[in-house]
Formats: sequence, C-alpha cells, structure tokens
Amino acid sequence: MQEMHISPLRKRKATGELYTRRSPITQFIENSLQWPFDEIVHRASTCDRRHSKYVPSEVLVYHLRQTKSDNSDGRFIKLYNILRDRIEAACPRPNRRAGQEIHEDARLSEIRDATINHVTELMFTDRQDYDEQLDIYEVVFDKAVRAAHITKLRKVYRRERANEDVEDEATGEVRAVVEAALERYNKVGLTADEDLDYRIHLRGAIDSLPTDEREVIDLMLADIPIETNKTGEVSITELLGCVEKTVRNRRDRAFAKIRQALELEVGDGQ
Amino acid sequence: MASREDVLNDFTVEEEMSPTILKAYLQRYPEYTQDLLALFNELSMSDLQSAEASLPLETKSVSAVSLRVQHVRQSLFGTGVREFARDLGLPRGFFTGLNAEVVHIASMPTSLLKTLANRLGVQMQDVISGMQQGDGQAVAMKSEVKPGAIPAIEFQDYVESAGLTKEEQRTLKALLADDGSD
Repeated sequence: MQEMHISPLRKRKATGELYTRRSPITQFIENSLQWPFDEIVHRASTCDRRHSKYVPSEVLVYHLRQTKSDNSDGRFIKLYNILRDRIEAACPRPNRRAGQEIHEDARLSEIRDATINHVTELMFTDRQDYDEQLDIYEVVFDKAVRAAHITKLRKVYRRERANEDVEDEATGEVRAVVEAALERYNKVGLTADEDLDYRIHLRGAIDSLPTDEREVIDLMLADIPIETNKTGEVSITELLGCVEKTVRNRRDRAFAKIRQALELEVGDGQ
Repeated sequence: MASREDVLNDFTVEEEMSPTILKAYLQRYPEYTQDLLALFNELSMSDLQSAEASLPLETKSVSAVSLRVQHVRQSLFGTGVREFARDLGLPRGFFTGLNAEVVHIASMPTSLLKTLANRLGVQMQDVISGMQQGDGQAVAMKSEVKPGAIPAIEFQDYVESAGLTKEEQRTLKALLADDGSD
C-alpha cells in the first residue's frame, strides 16, 4: 500500500512547537484516504460518536481543506454543510423546554450564530489561502468551537460584578462538605461512570455560578492559595486583583449555591 | 510576550484540560487570568458533554435561522432583488445568478459573502444556505441555456461573462474590497 503523506499543520505554539494532530486522528485520516469521497460523506452523516462508523470532525476538516487541490466545489460544500451542523451541535443549546413549550434564549442563539459565522468565515478564507487558525480545528474541533463560542459570549454579555456585601455566608459545615465535593472532582479511583456523572453535575453547578464566584472556585480547584508568602507562587488575591475578604465572600456564596445544586447533605461523608 | 490569542489557542489544544494545566498557564500568564478561567470552564463543559452520551444533532426548528435564509433568497432571487440590486449598484441578473447551480459557492470571495451578509443583516452561513437553496428555478445571467444543463463555474469566470459595464465593474470591485464589517 502506497504511503500517503499527510501534510503537517503549520501553526506554532508560543513555545515554537508545531501544532500536531492527535494520533488517533492521524490514523483515522490515513485510513480514510482509501475511501471514495462519497463514502466519507456517507459516514460523516452519522452523528453518534459511539457508532463504529462515526467520522471525527477533525478528520472532516482535514478533508475539507484537501478539496482545495481537486478543484471540485461540490465536495467542499458537502463537507462544509456537515461541519456547519457539527459546529452548531458543539455550541451550548439555546433552547430549553418548559413543559410543552420550547423557549429559545435569544442571547445564546445570537452567540451560537456568531460562532458559526466565525468558523464559516475561517473555512472559506482557508480555501482561498491557508489560514493557520483552522489548524486548531484539526486538533480539537469541539474545543475550538467552544473557545470561539466563549469569545463571542464575552463580547455579548456585560460582565456584572456580584454584590460584594456578605450575603448568605456559608457555615463552616457547608464549607467542609463542598470542599470535600470539590476535592472529589480531582479524585482518582472512581469508576468511569461515577466519575463522569459526578463531574458533569459539579461542573454544571460551577458553570451556573456568577462569573466572579466561578473564578474563585476554579482557582481553588487549581490548588491556588487565597494568599501566599511563597516566592514565585501566585495567589487568588493577586490573580483577581482583590482582597482576601472579597475572595472568601465569593467562595462562601459559591459554596452555598453549589451545595444547593448538588443537594448535598451536611454531615454526609460522600 | 505571547499574545492573548496565542495563549488561549495553545490552552485550547492542550492534551489534558485539568486544573493542573490551568494552574501552569496561570502561573505563566497571570495577565490573562480571566480569559483563561472563562476558557477553562467552557472547555471543561465541552469535554464532559462530549464524553457523555453522544450528541445527536437536534432537528432544526423553523425559527430565526429559517427566516434569515428566506430573507436571503427573497433578496437575491425573489421580489426583493430589484431593490437590493439598486442599493448595491449592480444589475439584478448578477444576483439571481449567484446560486450554487450557476457558480461554485466556494469560489466566491469571502469578502463578498461577508458584505452580502452584512447588507442583508444576516450571518455568512445564512447567505451560503440561501445560495444553495436558490429560488428553486435558478436563472443563469444572460444565458439562454436552461440551468442545470451546464456545470457550475468559478466566480471569476462568472464575473467575466456577466457583461458588466465599467462602472458596474468598479462597484463590484469596491464591494469585494469591503470586508463586510460595520
């Protein structure tokens, strides 16, 4: 079998290192080069990631970029249409169901549309002249879409800082329970299902927090101290540019909300 | 100093999206703390949602997107084309030919797609969808041959065969130079 050459990506990290596709993706691309184009499109219509025929989006982006050389526009548009749908699927859903009705969050819809627009433009620009930004989508497609999404979201939403007054200060018991919950987030040894289920719920609770409270929680998860005297070590107060009291207030408000969201029982060892 | 975009791109492609990685980036690039935290949350959600049961694509509801695409089709191929063409200073026939049956959409300059999107108050993907749907009975500009009988051509060839006057050519050139931003 003749070895197919897959061109390396061109984008470089700040360290100078080239962006590289993940090994499974490279292998998938190598295999897919044997398929007729129609077979790629047929398999790409499968959206269930667990299906044996599922084609990762990163692979589709690779093939999209190859249509440049075959001068066959029909191929580009076919792949673009599939990827366009996958971009939409990778964005947070703007619809929520309330009883029998479906409500669309206008802001989230706007951000989703702006995200699709952004990636669409990238794909079209790349077709005319190589755009290194599209390399990211060959490495981590869903994450790249989410990164574009958060950029759009931060432009649309105004950041409202939470009230700094002490409100609903968490008791020592609540703090202990939620700290244990956060510790479990980083814990190893759980079964895959337990771990995933727990992480999803906890991350969902964290995601629902106001921005300033979420920031404190994630910094705690990153094991960054509120204050520090150690040289070379960053602290939460330093990173967020606020005093210790403010950090603790935000933490306590966040804890109360997380506890409620997870419906944790005080004194329960889990 | 690494730019904000470079740092966030590098963070996005990290093999592992964990608090440990987050800490490493925060220590290295404290000036981008809030951007990194926002991105960390977003990517963590993405990772977990991907790992969860597969994400079947939702059936698109007839909603704002459909209305926008309909607006594109009206403006380029329907009753709105006369006014649209007049506003842009190009002949009607030029726009009615801008559909997938006549012109390779991928050969259209991105600047044109963006400008059309901007002028119509829609997104680029809406213009592309509208062009693919056409008007259902695509009309080639100044062609006596029924559409579909000949393959689609490149945009450049389409422009050259469009029979534009010198002034219309200048207008089109100005449109192509416009990046579509407000």
